[in-house]
Amino acid sequence: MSRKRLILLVLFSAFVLSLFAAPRVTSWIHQGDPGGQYGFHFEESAHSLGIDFIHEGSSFDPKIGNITPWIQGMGGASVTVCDFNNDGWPDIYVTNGRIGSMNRLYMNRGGKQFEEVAQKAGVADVNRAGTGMSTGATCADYNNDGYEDLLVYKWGNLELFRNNGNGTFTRVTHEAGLGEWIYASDAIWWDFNRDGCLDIYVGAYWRAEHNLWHLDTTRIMQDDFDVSRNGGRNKLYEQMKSGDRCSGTFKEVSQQYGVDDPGWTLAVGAADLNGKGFPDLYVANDYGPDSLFLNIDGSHFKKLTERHGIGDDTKKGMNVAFGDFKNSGRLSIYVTNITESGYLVEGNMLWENLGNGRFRDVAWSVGAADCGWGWGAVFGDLNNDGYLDVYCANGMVSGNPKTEYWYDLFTMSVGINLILEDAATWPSMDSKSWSGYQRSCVFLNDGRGRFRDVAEKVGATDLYDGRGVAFADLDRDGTLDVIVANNKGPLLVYLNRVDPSRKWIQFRLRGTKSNRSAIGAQVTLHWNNQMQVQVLDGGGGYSGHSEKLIHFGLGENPKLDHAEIRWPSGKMQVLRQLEPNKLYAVEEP
Amino acid sequence: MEVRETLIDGLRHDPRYLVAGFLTLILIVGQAWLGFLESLEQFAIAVVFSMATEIALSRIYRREWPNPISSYMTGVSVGILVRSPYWWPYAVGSVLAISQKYAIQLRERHLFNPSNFGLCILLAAVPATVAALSKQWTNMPGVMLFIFLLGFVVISRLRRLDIVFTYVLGFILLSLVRSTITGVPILAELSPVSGPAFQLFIFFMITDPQTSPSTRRGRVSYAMAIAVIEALLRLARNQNAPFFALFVVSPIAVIWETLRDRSRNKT
Repeated sequence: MSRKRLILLVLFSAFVLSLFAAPRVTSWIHQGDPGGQYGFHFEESAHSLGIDFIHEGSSFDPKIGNITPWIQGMGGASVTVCDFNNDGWPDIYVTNGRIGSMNRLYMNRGGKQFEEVAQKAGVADVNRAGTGMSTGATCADYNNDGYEDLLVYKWGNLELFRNNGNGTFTRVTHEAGLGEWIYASDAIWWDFNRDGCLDIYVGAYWRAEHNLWHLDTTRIMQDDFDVSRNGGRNKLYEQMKSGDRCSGTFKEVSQQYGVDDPGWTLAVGAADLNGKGFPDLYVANDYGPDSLFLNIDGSHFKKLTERHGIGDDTKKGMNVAFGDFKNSGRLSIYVTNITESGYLVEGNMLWENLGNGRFRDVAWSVGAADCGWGWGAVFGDLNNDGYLDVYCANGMVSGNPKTEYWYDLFTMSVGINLILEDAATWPSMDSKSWSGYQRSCVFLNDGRGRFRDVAEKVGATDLYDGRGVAFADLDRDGTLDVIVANNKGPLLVYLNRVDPSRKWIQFRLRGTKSNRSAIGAQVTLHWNNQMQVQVLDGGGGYSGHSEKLIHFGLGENPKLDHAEIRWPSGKMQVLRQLEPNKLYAVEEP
Repeated sequence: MEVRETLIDGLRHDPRYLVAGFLTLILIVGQAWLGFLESLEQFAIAVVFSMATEIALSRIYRREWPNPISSYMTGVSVGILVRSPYWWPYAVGSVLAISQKYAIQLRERHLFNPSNFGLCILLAAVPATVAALSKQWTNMPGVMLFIFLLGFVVISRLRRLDIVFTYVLGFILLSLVRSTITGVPILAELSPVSGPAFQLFIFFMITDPQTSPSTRRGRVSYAMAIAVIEALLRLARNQNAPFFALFVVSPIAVIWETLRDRSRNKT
């Protein structure tokens, strides 16, 4: 062998070895990071707060028994935060999956204890045989009477509960014109036409013609893993007006407005993304492209699709969250997907809003892409440093840790759709794990729009199969606490302890001309020569709905300038002489 | 003038031009129809790094300007097969693919299929960053059929259909065996046959003339060996079984054939 060739062989070998060594060295370097430097930590406190809830999964038709754990895993576990009794303390509504099981409503008693009152309130018995199972809930004051009402969405019949204002609810599903059978994965309240009455948009997963408990056929699955469009049709329910008042009845108008998306929708969200004053709609679809519908003056929608950009992905969209992660004054979109080492390197998507209706996925470059099998995710300033962080739940099925289902699925997923569509041809899951035992990600923003997962360092250490995530200031200490609903697991409440030198400010909004819940309002805070915009959304986030509270972290020694509120009606309001560490209750002028 | 003549001569007599042409056609149609590349930039990086590495190493070690067609095909294959959100795996995959041709040789013959080598090293070293092409080209039968027809035409011209048929037959038979052993539905085990990645593998990778035997008997044994190793890897639940099977079998085939030729020459 010549000397030159020997040199090449040595260099080549060194190159290959360094490739193998690089990930291990990187991991070793990060292991040495000290904790306690991030300005906050979590204390899991569900039990001590009086919350002992374990989510139960439904069983389905035995004909699809080979993939029952998978279907159960898609069936959500949700948490919704609302102040149902207007006492100023956020309450928690949790859904269950097993047919015959009860949903729970935990009333907040002064931030120290919670009391379960679902039966008494009339919102527990929702999972009766023949009506389907709950997959989530979202609350809003749809009739503008001053009390938050409750929409429970299901793989089954939707359920609408009107808040009576006395601690009880009345089921008004049929009077409202709702209640049709739909495999709803997510639903939001929004006022898409700015008439002051809240409307409902529901994202559907399975096609409504099937009954998962009594199947006529096993050909129920997606026809493609990348570009499938044979899922359930999404629905837009427009609330009708009666004179100047909201009638409390809804009309299904999704086809009329062109938003009856047939993808396998897992999450939906609405916010004004282009500054035109009307909420735009983002639909996150499994097995194929998401859809962004731009709202044209409330009269119709225009679907935005960019080649290799937004609306042209082949991923597994599972979440929608809006956040101004760069303090740019624009809302970007966070969508979770699947990343599994050796199988799928898709990554979550962070669609940075570049303005003028342009978006760019920056998730990998800013370090917010890999959170395993991601589910619900929410933006919020967890350490009150003035920059939005992300909490992302994850994990699919935690079964026998010595076995996994990825190989089985991967093998069959490469075939043609004639094989895929038939659930009977899918390999049996048995008790296998499938991206199980994953730890949630707490992506901490470094102030330059770059993220780093610090979950383990700050105490978010559970390995349950997380689904819905909601933020709320449960104990009114000026921090965002995190509530995580786990599929076939316990509801977790992470109380957040933040360095008190870091300040905050909060806004609770109440609409007058706009819908009473002020859903769709945007608040832009100016301080320390920077600004950040936040939106009060009416859902968004897979199976998780946060408290209707606008919370800004301010960092240490903040110099507050002013806040601008753009109400859903379009009215602008400016608040000055603001002080940190205060909650401002603001009514639309 | 010399380059032009080389190209014209190559187009007439060198089957690699045909393969390259059809790969490019698949690429163009696939990109226009489905946009199946991760991105054009990443693809371009794979091709540029592949060709640049070939030129550099050829100048250093052979003191000649190489025919670019081989490195072009390697770059195209890496650009198609590697799936990563980053740009660097495309560059590294191409550099690995080409440089191993110069670093690992037996009697001036390289042992590994270049793009498969680059891919396998990336899959083994950085699985959190790189995945192989699998089903990202949709599950539509039309895509599979399109690649199948093109591949069939090319490999017929190359007279290497024996490899394709032997491997496919072996895969089907061994799928039945696997299904019996594991209890997985036979359609699920057979499913990869109907995927576009499988078509690319059988027509454009295992048939590589440089790293597959020259005799029919050798090729049949080679194809069956790939099918058997792949089946064993699948039983061990390795999701990249075809690529690693080729990684194992192709150097054995080259070494075996080289030693056999040497032995014949001696006698």
